[in-house]
This record gives sequence, structure tokens and C-alpha cells, in this order.
Amino acid sequence: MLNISKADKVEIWTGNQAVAEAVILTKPEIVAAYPITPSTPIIQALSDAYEEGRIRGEFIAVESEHAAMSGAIGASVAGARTFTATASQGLLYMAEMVYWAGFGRLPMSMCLVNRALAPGWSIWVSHEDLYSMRDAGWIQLIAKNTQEAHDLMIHSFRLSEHHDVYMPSMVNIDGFVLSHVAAQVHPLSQKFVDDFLPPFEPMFTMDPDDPISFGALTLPNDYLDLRKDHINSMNNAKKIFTDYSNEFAELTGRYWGTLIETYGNQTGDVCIISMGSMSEEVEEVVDELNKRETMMFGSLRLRSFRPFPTEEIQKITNLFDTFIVLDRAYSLGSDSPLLTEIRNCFYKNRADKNIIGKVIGMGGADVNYKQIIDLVISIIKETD
Amino acid sequence: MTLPMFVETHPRDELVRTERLPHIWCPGCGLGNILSGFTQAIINSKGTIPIDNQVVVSGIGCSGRFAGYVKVDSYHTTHGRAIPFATGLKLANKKLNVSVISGDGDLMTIGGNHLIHAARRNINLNVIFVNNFNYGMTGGQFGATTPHGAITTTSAKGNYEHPFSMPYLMASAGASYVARWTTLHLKQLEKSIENAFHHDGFSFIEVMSPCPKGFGRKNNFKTGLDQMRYFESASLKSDNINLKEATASMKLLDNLPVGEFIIDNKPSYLKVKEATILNNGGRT
Repeated sequence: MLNISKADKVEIWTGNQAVAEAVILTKPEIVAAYPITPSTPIIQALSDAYEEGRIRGEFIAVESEHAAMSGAIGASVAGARTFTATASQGLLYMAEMVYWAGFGRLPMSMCLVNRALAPGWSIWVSHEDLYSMRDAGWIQLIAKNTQEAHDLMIHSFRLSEHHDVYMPSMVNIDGFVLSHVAAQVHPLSQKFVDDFLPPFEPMFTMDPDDPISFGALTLPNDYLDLRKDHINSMNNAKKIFTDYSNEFAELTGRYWGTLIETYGNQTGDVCIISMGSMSEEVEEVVDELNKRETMMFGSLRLRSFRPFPTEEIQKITNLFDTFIVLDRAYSLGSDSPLLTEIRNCFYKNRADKNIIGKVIGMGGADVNYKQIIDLVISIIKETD
Repeated sequence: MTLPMFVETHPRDELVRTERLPHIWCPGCGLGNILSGFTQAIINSKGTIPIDNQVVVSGIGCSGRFAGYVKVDSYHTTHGRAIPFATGLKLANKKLNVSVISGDGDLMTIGGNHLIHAARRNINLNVIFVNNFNYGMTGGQFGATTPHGAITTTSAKGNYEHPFSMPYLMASAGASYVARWTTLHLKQLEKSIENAFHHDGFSFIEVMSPCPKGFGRKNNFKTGLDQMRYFESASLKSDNINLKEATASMKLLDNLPVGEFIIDNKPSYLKVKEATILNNGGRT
């Protein structure tokens, strides 16, 4: 095991600090960002890091989120390692350019601090913003706690910049629950990050000696080819992210899972599926229910929503009888987005199981393990 | 005579959603003064503009909360979009007296495009532009009106950008009523808002407001009162100033020009549109 940090060094950081400190270690050359609660402290810390000379580069204090993503796109095209952070309405306002970065295959990283969409005005956690950019051609990673948020940032840059992936990547952290709550973090060292994350080597840049035209009109066949290549690259990201996760675990001793993380019984009666900070509560639930009940419980959480861990989830379809999918968002007129995706995996296996979706914790409603236990018990009674 | 220690009501209660109080604004913030001046202007204009026709539209930020505190029809819109929202509202119901009350970050930085186009159209809106020189709500970052050199949370060594001069910008964009006051000039502000209500066209009032938590404490105004004292010593009534010189450096030795800079009776958007399309054009 490598010396990842001074062995005794533990920081008490908020999720935002943990993200900012990790981003500083990646030495982005350009950060273009606009303040929005609850992500503002990330960009403030980066602005300070440039002013204090901790890293070299430029902070662009743009006039809107749309301009933030536009600035990030310009920087990425110029071959710079690029970062931004936003939340909720900010992400929606930058949406046109988020798609542009995605479909334009521009490596960069973003921290999306998950927050409910308005109206009603809410500054608290929900996952509507995450799902809103589901089809934008970005990799979407999700952290369950502050330490993982810190660690995932490094993965995010590396995955985004890999030539077989080569697309933007976002790390999602739950607003306030992770962004503003301080927790213990074992910081990565500069040396570790320098070794784990090689310098960005752009495949295409704006270079006067080798001129390329970006964003030109595309005829139907070329358009299809572009999307096919993107689909293939998204699939490549599954294995590459899995490899990075395993490599990271080997080097640091911190195993977060791969595209998914399982907990508790690997086979049994009930599997609870979730994402984000709620997954830590679910782990508590699984421990408690395995002690208390005669049934056997397990948990599965997604660390990546795009690419979706279809194969990993297919593997568990026959290992439990009942699946409870907890989601912090709802697709109006359909079901919760996560439930729909999970059902898709089951259909591919022709597995006929109980899959029950529950929407919980939207708009910042508190979710603790006791509430989840009550929910699980009531579902079990209903399905008996 | 013994004065009562407590009163049951406040003279402005009629126009304030008292059930929402206490408000969220910090001690020393100037927004309370503006709320007071604005509601008084509504009361003073009752004779000509029924209260039921008064509408307030706000964007996002501390000033964005304004819409939630006034007891008239109001809408707290998204960041930067108060003016297009208000434009739709006004055109759909022309008898409304539509006031947009929002901050510098909202109206000028993220929403600046809409502001200059509204001024260019000379559309019948009253814009009360609360300038506190930073993004207060998110913790004091610099924006498009932050004085050059000012310390903020995103310019720890001083703002390296230059601010807009709002009266100068609005005048050149086509606004037909342009004024500037500070939260110290409560009476003048009240009167100015009344004038804006009755002005046929695009009215723009910049109100300089203390923000001790965000802007002030990092820039020699530790309390709201310190910034009010500065307003008192630096303000110079200069109705006829060349607007190029209507800067707002917030520096101790510099003047802060205030006054009613432009009152131009050129035809408003609605008047021109009525004349060119509705009366003379192909549509009826």
C-alpha cells in the first residue's frame, strides 16, 4: 500500500471543502463558475487557491451558469484541465451548454451539489437536477459520503480524460447533507494524485499549426456515427471506471465498490437499492434488520448513474426475492427514474420479481435509517 | 403624555405580509428601508393607482425575497429573469403597474441582457435596482457592480474587474426615467418611486444599499450604520451630472452622485406599439 497521505492526517471538512481540496490537487488550469447555494463554497475555495498561488491557472468569475459552462467549454477545447461546480437551477440554466460539452466530447469535471428544482423554492437535497442531465452525454458519479466525494473527484478527471472515454464527467454530492456537514476526511496527497491522475493529454485542441473546426454542421450519417462512438465510449467507461476503483482501493485501502457497491447479504430476501448519502442510512437499515428480523437483507447502491451499471444489477436479479428502490426524485407521468432503470435490467434477464419503488427525501425532507426501516417493514407486510 | 411601549400595528402593515416576519435580511441591511419606501409610495399613489393593480416581480437573492414580503400580487421568479417575466405580465394585462425589485447580481450580472433590452424598448416597467455591490445571499462574491479593488470572497486581493455605472448604462440603453438614491434618502426614494409609477415608459431607480455581512465588513463598512454614514457624507445631489461621471466607487474621498438624472417624455413601448401596429398596421 502506498503512502497516500501523512498517515495520521485527518481533516474535518465539509463535503464542499473535500471536493475543493481534491480539485486543487488535480491542478485545473481553468475554473469558470457562478455562485449558487449549496455549491458556492467549492468555487470560493478554488478562487482562493488561485489567488494564494496554491495552483496555477485562472478563476473566471462569469456572469451566469450558461457563461460558466461556455467558458469551461472554451478552456477544454484549448486543451486545459477544466472544472466547474453548480446546483439545481444553475444546472438547468447551463443546460444548453451541458449538452454541448457532452455531445461535443469535451473532457472536464463538474461537481453537482444536488438540490431540488423550483418551484416551490427549495435549497435542499433532491435528485431532480441529477436526472435532468441524464441524457446529456456526461458521466454521472455519485458519492455517499464526504470521503468518497473527495476520492471520486480524482476518478472523475481521470475517467473523463481517458482517450477511450473522452467526455465530461460530474460528481454528485447531496446538498447540505454532504455539502455542508463536516466529517472526517483522510486527504489524498499531492504525490498520490500526481501518480494516479496523469496530466491531461487532449486528443483534439485548437492549434494554429493544425487547424480543426469544432461544432460544424453535421449531416445525418455523420451525426449517427458521432452518437455511436459516444455510446461505445460510454460503455468503455464502465470497465475503465471499475479498473480505476479497484486500483484506487489497492493503493489506498479505501474500497468504495465499482459501478455499484453492495452491503450486507449478497443473496437473501430483500435488497434495498439507493444512491447518494441515503445509501449510508440504508447500510444502517440492513445491519439493523438483519439483527432484528428473520429475513435476510442486503443493499446495493449506484456509484455511477451514467453509464448505468446494467450488467452488475442483472447479476443480482435472481439473488433476492424483493427489491426496494429508494429515489429522491420522480418522473412526473411515469415512475421514479431509478426504478425505471432498474426494471429495465430485470426485463433483460426476464426476471419476475417484486420491485417496489419508493420516493423519499425529496426537497430536503430528512431521511434517517429509522424511517427507512418503517418503510421497508410496511412494504414487506404489504407484499406478503 | 405617556407613550405606549408597544404598538399592535405598524403604519405599513397594510402592505406587508406580517405573517412572514421576521424577515431573513441581516441586521444593517438596507432592504427594510426600501420595503418601507416602496410600500409608502404605493400608499401615496392610491388615488391614481389602485393597490389591486400594483404588482411586484423579483428575481433571486436577498432582494428577491422582496416579492414574498409585499402584500400585493407578487412573483419570485428565477435568477435574472424578473424583467422578461414582468414584460409578459405587463403586456398580458396592461392596467397593472408592474415593479421589478431585485438586486445588482440578479438584474445586472446574470440578467443584464434583459435589463438593457427593457431599457431599449422603453417598456412600461418600474425597476428598483438594489445595489449592494456583491452577491449577498451566496456569501459575498463579486459581480458586475462591485467597485474595482473591493475585497470579496472571490477577490481576496481586490476586485480585478470594473463595475458598470448603472445610470450611465441605463441612459445609453434608452431608459426614459433614471434616478439614483441610497437607503439614507428615504423620502427622496419614496417620491422617486411615486414618480416612476406615474412615468409612462421604462423607469430605473438605483438604490445603494448597505450589505454589512457580504460587502461592508471587508470594505471598511463594518456595520450598516457605517455605510449609511458614508452615504451621508459622500452623496451629492447632482440631477444634471454628465452620467459618465455617475460612478460609485465606495471610496471615502469620492462623491456619490444621486438624484433624478433623466426624465424624458419620449413615447413608451406601449404607446409606440399602439400607434404603429394596433392603430395603423394590418392587425386590429
